[in-house]
Amino acid sequence: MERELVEQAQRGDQEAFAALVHLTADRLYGIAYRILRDPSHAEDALQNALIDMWEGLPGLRDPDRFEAWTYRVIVRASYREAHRGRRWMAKVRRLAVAPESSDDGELDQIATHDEMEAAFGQLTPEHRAVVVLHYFVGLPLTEIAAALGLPVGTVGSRLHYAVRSLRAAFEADARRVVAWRHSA
Amino acid sequence: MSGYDDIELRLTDWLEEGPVEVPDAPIAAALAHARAHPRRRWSVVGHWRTLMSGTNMTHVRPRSNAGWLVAAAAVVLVVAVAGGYGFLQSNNPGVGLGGAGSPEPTATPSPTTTVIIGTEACSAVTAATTMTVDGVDASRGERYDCSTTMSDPRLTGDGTAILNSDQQSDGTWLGWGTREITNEGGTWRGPFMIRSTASARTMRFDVVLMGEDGYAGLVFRGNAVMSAARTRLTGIVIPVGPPITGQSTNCLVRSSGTDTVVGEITATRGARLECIDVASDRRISGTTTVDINGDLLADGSGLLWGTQFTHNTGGAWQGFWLGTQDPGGTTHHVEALLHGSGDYAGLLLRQSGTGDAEAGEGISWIVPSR
Repeated sequence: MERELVEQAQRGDQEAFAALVHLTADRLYGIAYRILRDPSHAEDALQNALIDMWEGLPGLRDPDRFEAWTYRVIVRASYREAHRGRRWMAKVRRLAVAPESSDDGELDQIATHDEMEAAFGQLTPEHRAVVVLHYFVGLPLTEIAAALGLPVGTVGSRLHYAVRSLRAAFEADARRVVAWRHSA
Repeated sequence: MSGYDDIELRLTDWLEEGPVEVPDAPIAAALAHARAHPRRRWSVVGHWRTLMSGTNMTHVRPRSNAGWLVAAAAVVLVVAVAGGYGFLQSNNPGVGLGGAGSPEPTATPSPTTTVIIGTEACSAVTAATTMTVDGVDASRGERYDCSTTMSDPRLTGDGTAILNSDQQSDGTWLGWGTREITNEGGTWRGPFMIRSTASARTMRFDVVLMGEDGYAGLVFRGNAVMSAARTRLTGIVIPVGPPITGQSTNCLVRSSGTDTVVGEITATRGARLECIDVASDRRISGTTTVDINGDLLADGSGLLWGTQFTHNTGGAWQGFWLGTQDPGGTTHHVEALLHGSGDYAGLLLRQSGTGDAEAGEGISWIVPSR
């Protein structure tokens, strides 16, 4: 049925386009958010991507490649949003007041979240996109390459660099913790 | 520091955090843009691609590259106007509304079908019974009350959904059950099956609901995207025609499967039948392999479900089925939803039947794509 909707939308059927948006918006927003790490930026990227989809649909040769094509559209819209250079809002995580017997596990989870947020934020949008498509969407490298119009080697290289950077950031943080404990 | 060993596992878990549902504002803005910037229905570029994909047309002798485009566009416009919008839809000689005694389908050009969109919200009212069978966490009979709001009021209403599920130790999740929507005009009813993972934030599955009472003869064919907060439905309502009757099934048991006793329930997994189906519509006659699972009580009653594959010279039908077995353990009632391939690509086969272990009778509907 999605193929039929794509073909109808390519012919200018706005109801079919609305149905495609209905089907894909949540998934694409999830991708944009995870690349941009900000909900308002992600909303802007999604809006622009959906407009690009309306404008660009007639150029999609194979309606069966619609899903892969949407990945390219949302990633490019996310790139534009990321490079727009807008001021990023600081995110303060509101912690619940912990009782005396607080759960160290919750604090560890928050620490891991913040560490990952910081490390991920050091990656370029191009590296983040590959990480999100592989580890969040679950696409293999070949499909990421096809969706983004990149050589498979480039995708593999970006993914390898991103994971290595994240691992290095966590290891550096672990060394800081150890150093602090020794100095305390 | 947490105890994770692998940065990739931490990364995957971290990426699972965050929103998976988009606010309405960007969607509304994009749709408003589309309304404000409509595409010309008779786009020469769009039709050119269709023509080059092999659709039949009358060729015009080209004078130049540019002239070929202009000439082809003129032919397209003339033929399209004369033949109706249906000319440029993909040809599908298999499309037809199979009925008793009409084994030869005829292609019927149809007007553009309005796409229906909407959402539904469900809340659990009856808890599931749970058990573990061979490492699989089984949940049975969870009942939901649902409220559905669709752009077509025929599909707006209340109803129930019954959900059963199996979760494998590797996180693979299989859900199945029945769904109905009821309003003053009638009822829509049908089975569903979902294949996903336990950690998935959203799940997508087919929705095929047959109309009853005031909606008899209609089917809602679409799909659903389900998340924790809501389910988005998209589909079309199309006539399905009279059911195919005069169907019989004769089966041989190829495997009895394995039985595991869990409390009062005997859980049968992996039984297999091979059947010969004969129907008045030869598209659904053929050889069928049915895989069967069941959770049965001591009196023989219980739930049945599994997969089905039917093939003949024209193509194949493949999908899932679900049902119940009566006390006594011989008579079963099943419903199936199968996807066509080969000559039947794009079609859905909806079946409803009653039978015993060796033979059965049923009725079927072949649901066209539009």
